[in-house]
Amino acid sequence: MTTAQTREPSRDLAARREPGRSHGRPISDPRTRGRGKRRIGRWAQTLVLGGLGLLWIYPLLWVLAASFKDSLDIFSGGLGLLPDSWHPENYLRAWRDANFSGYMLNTVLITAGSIVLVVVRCAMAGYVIARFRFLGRRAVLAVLVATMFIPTGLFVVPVVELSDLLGLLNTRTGLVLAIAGGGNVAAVLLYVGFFSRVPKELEEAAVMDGAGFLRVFFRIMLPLSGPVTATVVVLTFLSSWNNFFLPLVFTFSTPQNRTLAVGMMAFQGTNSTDWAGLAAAASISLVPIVLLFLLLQRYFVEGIAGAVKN
Amino acid sequence: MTSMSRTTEPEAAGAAPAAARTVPRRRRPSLWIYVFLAPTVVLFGMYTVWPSVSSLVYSTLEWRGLGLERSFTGLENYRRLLTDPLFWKSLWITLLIIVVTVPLRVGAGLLLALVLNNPRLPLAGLLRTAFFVPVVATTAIVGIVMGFVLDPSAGPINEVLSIFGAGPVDFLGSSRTSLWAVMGVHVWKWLGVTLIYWLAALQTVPRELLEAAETDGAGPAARLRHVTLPLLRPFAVIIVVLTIIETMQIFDLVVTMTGGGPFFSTLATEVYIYDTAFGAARPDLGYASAIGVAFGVLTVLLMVVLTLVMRLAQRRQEQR
Amino acid sequence: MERIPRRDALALFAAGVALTASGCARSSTRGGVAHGDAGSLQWWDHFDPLKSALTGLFDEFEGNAGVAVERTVYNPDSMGQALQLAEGSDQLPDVFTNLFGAPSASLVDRGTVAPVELSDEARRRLEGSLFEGVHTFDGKTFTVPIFSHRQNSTLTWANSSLLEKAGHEPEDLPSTWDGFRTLCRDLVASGTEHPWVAPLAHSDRMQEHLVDLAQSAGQTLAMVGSSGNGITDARTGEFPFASEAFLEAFTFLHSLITDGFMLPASTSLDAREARVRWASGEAAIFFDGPWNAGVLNGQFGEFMKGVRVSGPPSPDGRGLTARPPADGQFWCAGTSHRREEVGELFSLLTRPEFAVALAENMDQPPADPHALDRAEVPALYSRAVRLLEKNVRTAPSPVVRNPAVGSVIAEMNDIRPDLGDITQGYLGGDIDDLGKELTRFNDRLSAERDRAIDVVNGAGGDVSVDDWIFEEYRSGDDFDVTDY
Repeated sequence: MTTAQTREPSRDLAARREPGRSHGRPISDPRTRGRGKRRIGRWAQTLVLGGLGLLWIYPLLWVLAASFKDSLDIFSGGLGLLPDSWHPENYLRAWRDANFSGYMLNTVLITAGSIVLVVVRCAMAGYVIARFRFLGRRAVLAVLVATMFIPTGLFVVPVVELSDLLGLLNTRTGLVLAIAGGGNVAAVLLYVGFFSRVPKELEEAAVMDGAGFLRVFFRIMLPLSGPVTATVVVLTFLSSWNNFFLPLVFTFSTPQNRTLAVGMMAFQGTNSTDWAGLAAAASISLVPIVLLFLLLQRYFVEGIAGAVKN
Repeated sequence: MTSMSRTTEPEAAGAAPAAARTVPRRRRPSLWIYVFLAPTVVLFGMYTVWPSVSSLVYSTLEWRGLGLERSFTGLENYRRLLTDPLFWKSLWITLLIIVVTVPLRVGAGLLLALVLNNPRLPLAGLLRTAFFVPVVATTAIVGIVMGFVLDPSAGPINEVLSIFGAGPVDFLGSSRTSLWAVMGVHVWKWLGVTLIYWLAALQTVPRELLEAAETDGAGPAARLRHVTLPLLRPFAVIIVVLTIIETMQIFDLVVTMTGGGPFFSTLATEVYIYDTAFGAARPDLGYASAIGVAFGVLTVLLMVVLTLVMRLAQRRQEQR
Repeated sequence: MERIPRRDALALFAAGVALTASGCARSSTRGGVAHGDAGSLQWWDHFDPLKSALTGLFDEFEGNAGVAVERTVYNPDSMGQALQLAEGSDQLPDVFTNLFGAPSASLVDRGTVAPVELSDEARRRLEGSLFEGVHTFDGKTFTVPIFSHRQNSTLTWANSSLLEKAGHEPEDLPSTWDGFRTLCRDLVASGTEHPWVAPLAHSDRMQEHLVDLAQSAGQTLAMVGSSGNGITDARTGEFPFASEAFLEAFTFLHSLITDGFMLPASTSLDAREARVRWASGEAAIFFDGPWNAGVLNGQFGEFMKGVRVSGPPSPDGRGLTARPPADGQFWCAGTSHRREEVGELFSLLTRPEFAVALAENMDQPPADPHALDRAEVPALYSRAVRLLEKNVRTAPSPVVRNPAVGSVIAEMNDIRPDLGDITQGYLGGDIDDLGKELTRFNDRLSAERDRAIDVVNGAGGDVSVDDWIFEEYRSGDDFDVTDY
């Protein structure tokens, strides 16, 4: 059966783990012969993937290039990257005239709020669901999973009504709650999956040391979940950064609270679109996410191994 | 829905007895359990369960646009649904998108993740970013770029095709190819998310285990087959489900690339719902909700059937 | 039970209080209006080109009335949704453009919009241009027209350098369908591989092209709004889409495609993208409305110098089309506390100065035809507007005769595939038997209208199919306010 199969290795792991064994050690040791060959092999892999990656992001490089062109140049140049003439003023137009400086601040605040809320609430829920049996556990799981399949396209209507009733409409708090409060079943499930695989010895050791429930969670479990948290952060970042409808509705009468995604709207007019301005705006809103992803990768890579050894 | 909870059961249930043993008897952390659950239960109740219930209620109303009088029509919207060819067409299109793109994304994502997870691979970080970036690109502008990439007269793909004497193919403009083109761009844009899922899942494979396997003389292929993949299996279920759900909500991309056309050929259900609720000359929130509810129910049913089939297959395998 | 550490308990409690506290009051007061800052008047519209015309007006208004106007521009796609959601949460602005999708009559019935008091001067200026059922309801003024109804979306815009290369005189654009085909043929021969670009992915726009072309082929129409539900044959009151003229229009566009004249990418372009592809020289000819000149002037000034314009091509070369009396664009919310100020603003909209500013924005032509004489605009725009003034007639509008027609159209469900879908399907090769499809569309629309008429009459209305019949109306005539 699957469970047996999948659990086997971790028992193996527990059995094999000896105190002296170092954990940070690379998989292949220096003693391995043919090191040079391997390195060449890896570089070859990089080269192939690099080519593929370049092809992969070419459309986005094009967007970046388009942000320096004028609108006609964007269309007459086809897929070429180099502008005929440089138009950095596109950025000025986006940043100042379209108020992207203000929108950026709003977006950062709202996104940060959503991330904190999602990580904390999903990690907590995921932890208890994964590691404890309690009354209503199945029900909670069932509701979580079942609601995943309901199309959310129309949720904006009742959410707005509810927020209005609670006095949360037109506030950033209300917006954060609306973005981070619902959904995110993915995050919960990722945490459930992760926490259920953490070796029980870790918890036992902590409890022996006299750690309470909160301590076990915040000092041991949450830090352990680095890679999952990184994933959840990236996904939440994505969804709140690009969320359009909720911020639109929540800023009807407070335009100064708008986000980048809503601000982007200003470039698409009735009869014309400011393509160059839109490209600049898109590039502006792209940068923070790329930076965040580059930063958080460390956690994807480090993984559980590092944490276990402490 | 129950079946889904059962699918995720193996690892959860597997852990629970362990945890029960783990937690010494002198502690009864039951209160903490509910405190930890509270934020999710309350917020989720407000922002997901309540809207879901609302949708159910809306679906029994004749409700043309917000603010307009709503009147109860019972099952009238559902009756209309049964004979609405566009609804059935949109279901078929959504199903096709899922069946084609989900395996592609999950498979290609895993492959990429396996390669990119090697910390000694030069420039791995940059490469990961490269495959991730399309995810964050603004859809409106992606639509424009892809218009050029897929352009029937001068687009690069058609130029390549013409070298082989094929084409030109009007990828987005012909109802025969538009859906495939949208699916292709969808995979391009969202592969990065699946990649992240897999990368995170791969972190749960302890390095010691791989080392041990290597010491025991297992080659890379054997390590993959006997250590990594079995460990990834429970994640695979989650990742597949998540990817299916994301795909069901394919919306922005379709709207910018084809607007559901040409001639309804890319009218995914989510697009149809949205169109009916907000996009139409005459918004019809009641009917849109009915489509939404029916879509949700059918999806859950499909998932139940799939799980049952999978279980049956498994049992048969075990008996052998 | 394990004792919860004091500090943790406190923190939890504090968080709970904060959550509860933030939820004490409803954020939008019932019946109130959204206020950015308390003193300003909220104004939403979807006319981004009108920025300078409206800004001047608002500045002046603020100087006089001491009230600032806060304007938000939406793109038309999100405007309708924004309005719906705003109404649902009692956040409608004081003034908005009607993209509700509901006919004005039903907005009036529901109290979504409120009447306004115009100044005497404004009322004088508007004499003869306000229609009951369109601008006034029960004699009360709700909105004022700012744009002329003499416009269409199917002017022929051409790239003169490509035309010259093909040996054609750019000042002398073809006026007939055959002339148009010949020009395309010559353009292909001279190296413009695909001379014509069209926004085939933009089904609403294609529908407008079709209606314009069918009218220029002699179809007489009575019109309410621009969607298929409101377009009927003026002579019979029936839906006209399977008529000879419509079929001819379809065939004309279809022949351009089968002859290979259409830029292949057209199938996936909307009007905005198609225009840029045309402006970048990929195609020589593009059908569009007068605002094309404004967009070109704003974004592609250099290219505009070489652009020529003429009316829509037609079988008889006259290119006559017709539109019903122009709708009012701006409406005052029923919930607004600033009706008086809105009335003043609307009065300002009728001033000649505003019409001039409007003309200079080069979007839809201003309601006042004389404004163009005093506006400083590129010759291309004036030429386009003059063409329209000459060749666009006033079509009868059933809703002017009987406002209850508006309620009927509001009651009608959308029939899909609609005219735009069918256009897309036929031109893209998904529909083989066009006649059958159009007849089916006609029949379904008629049935739906009959049902809606019953509903409206059942609710105390008084309306019949006769309200749609204007037997005396002839193609090429103006149907004035006195003709009803």
